[in-house]
Amino acid sequence: MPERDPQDADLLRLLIERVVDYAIFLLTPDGHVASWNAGAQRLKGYSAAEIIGQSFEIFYAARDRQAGLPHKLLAQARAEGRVENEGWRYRKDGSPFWADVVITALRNDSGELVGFAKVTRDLTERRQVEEERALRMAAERASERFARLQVATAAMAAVSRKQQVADVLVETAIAALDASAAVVGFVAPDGQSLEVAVGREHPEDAAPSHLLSESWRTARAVWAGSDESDSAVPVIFEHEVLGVLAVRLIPSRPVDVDERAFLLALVEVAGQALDRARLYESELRARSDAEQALRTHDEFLSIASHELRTPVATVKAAAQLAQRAIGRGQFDTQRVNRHLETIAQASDRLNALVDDLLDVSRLRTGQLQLRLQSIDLAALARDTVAHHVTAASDRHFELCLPEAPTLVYADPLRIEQVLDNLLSNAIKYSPGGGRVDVRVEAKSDGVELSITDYGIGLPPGYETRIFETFGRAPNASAQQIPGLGLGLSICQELVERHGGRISACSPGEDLGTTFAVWLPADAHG
Amino acid sequence: MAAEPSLTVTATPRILVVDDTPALLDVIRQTLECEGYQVATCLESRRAVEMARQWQPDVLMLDVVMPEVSGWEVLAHLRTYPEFASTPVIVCTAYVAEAMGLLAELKGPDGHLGLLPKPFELDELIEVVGSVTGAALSP
Repeated sequence: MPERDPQDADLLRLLIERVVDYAIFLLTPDGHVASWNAGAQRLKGYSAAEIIGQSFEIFYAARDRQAGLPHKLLAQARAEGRVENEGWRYRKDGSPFWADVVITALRNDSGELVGFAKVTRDLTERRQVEEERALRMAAERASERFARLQVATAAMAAVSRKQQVADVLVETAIAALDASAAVVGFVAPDGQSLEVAVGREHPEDAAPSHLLSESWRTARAVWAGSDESDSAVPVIFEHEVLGVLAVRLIPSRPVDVDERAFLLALVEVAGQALDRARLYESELRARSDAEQALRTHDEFLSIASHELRTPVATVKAAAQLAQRAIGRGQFDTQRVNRHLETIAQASDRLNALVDDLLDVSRLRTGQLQLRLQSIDLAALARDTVAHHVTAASDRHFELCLPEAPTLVYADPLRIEQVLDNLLSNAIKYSPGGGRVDVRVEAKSDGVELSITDYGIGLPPGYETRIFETFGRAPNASAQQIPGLGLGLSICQELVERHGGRISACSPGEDLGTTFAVWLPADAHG
Repeated sequence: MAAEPSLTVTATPRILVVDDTPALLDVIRQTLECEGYQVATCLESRRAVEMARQWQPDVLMLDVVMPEVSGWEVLAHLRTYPEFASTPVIVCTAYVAEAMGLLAELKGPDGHLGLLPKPFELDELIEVVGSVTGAALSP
């Protein structure tokens, strides 16, 4: 072990004693002050005579002393050789200062603890500067967020669509939190699902959409992700979740308390805006529905009045022709009779037209009440065919009906009306006579009835158009087969009111037509 | 009197009436025949232009709402033939408001159109047909 030069030791002692910027002193192994320098006196206010021999605990706050902090630091220095910490320490006059303290364990050559060296710096000023800066920044951030919230509130007050509210939410959240991705989901009108309204994503990372449904279901904010860098906050209005805003921060950092408060304030404002937008949009929808209904109604009235005017034109012209003939003294009974016959036929047509129009109107306005009961479709078909057999003696009806009853839950009068119409059509549109096939078949989930004729058939493209109101196939008009174009439209309406389907198919003109009616099986039996 | 017999012969005006209501066609034919016109009728609008080309009428009367091909389509097709470029056409329809709008648009380029709203008085029918036929046959 090298001998120390006594002169060097003196110099060293002087150096330490005269340093005024640091408190440098020694502690005995049990924590009593053993030496004191000028810096220590300046920093802590004690003179060497006052403090040497006192426990170093005197520098600590009572709270820290009770917690045993001084001796914990010593124990740590003893174990690890050195300990550094920052904290409030107290001067002789009781004033606090922010100290940076390093305690180093001193051991002799044989490793025995002989004491501690303690170096203390006063960082109060630096700390104050830092604190002020942090406070100023926090204040700036707070006022900036407040301004953003005000802008967002004003923006949301000005918009009337849900989509616009979503846009403001995403923009504001991304700008205020410096977030990388945000997404807004709205609860669908059926209340069963969330629909993403708008999303802005980071090129490398998606918005945390998976949090949307969790926040929606729990109606609470969700703070998640590896270090709580993902958040989802519900947009609530009067206890109902209308949507959710989800935000992700990249690079990942926790959403701090202020940011959480900001997000919660933002969705609070959005709740009111969204409720208003929802009302506005449902109003718009209702208005457009009403306008559409009115247009359909107007169109119907326009077509109906045209259809009514055509036979009226015939009646009027024929009546005037008859008057003229009589006025001119041409008492040609045969000629006048022909005019009267035309009038009678056109009047019948008018009458049938009015009946059908009333049916259509009742069906459209939902005024037609169905009297549903369990009926055997095959039996109903057999009875209906029987009426037509007597009326059309030149027809051969081929029935193919199942043995077992084919039960459907339906209004027998209305289904009879459908069958009657289809059978009349089958006869009417096969002017050359011939066979009509009627078939009833039980299917897995319902009953199908089909009526096939071998008449004029349908031109391509008319298999659906003939079901339109006033829709008629051109080959029917061309062959002067009378018809109003309403029967099939009524049939379709009636079948659909029963939850069934009706369709037509034809291999082509002059190749006949098959109409198929499907009704759901009676589930009440 | 017999100085210009050729004029009398060619001046028996020929009218082609296109409508999908047989009874009305029949009544119109009788009325116009009583007035001394030659009348041909056509129930199927898709055959109307073909019939016009064969029969060469002086005037056409067209229903508007007919299955397959509307009166307006017949009119447009007819005008593509130079021989019918200025043949008077009477549009006969119950859709009066709609027809008036379309006629007003067409009358700029096509000055040979008339309108007969349904239902009509026989006198109106005779008058409209008379006025367009007179215009068509006058030199």
